[in-house]
Amino acid sequence: METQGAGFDPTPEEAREALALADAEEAATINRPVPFWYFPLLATLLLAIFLLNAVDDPSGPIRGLIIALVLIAAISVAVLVGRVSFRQTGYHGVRTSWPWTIVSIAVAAALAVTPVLIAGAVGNWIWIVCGFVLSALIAGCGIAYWKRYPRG
Amino acid sequence: MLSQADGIEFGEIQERIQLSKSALSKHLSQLIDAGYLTDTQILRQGRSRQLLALTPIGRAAYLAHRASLEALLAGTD
Repeated sequence: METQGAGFDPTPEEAREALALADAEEAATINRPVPFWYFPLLATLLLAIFLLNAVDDPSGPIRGLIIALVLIAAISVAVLVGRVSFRQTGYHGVRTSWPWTIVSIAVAAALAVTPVLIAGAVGNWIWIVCGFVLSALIAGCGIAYWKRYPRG
Repeated sequence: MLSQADGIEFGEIQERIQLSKSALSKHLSQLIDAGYLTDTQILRQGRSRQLLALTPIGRAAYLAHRASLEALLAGTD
């Protein structure tokens, strides 16, 4: 955000460029790079959880296997998010983009809660639909994020 | 970049703005001498690192500069 120097007012174009650069630098601090495989893997694990929940009336050993796989996938999601979100880097106390965070949580929660509430009434296909929608959103937004903030 | 974090290490700043170590050190020293930045030695992953952070004065100066640029643009719109 440098201008010509002491005693010189920046031109409107210089001011616009300086503010754009400042906005870009602030965004690059908040939106830290993540590995290219992070969002696709996260999307795949979540899709697996939804698809496993869509299995119709599992019984016996199949039910136990499905429960185990759901737990493994859920723990994998938690570990993956924790390792990427809270890994130690050269950035300390980075601010959170709360609007995007709140919207993301709200959308994910809605897609997760909807089949829980209505699968009994409409059928287990709702798990499949919500699973594909959520994983597509995560993969798509994640790829766009990675392209915009690539790993240095 | 420092306005959106409590602190950023020297190596990360250098990687972001692609300056040599000596050139960046010179610029940062000027900002530290002006009271805009603090420089703290920390230990992370077993290595000593230099953590730079905005002071309240530095943050106020940055925000005031942004505000003056925005006012300049608002005056021309």
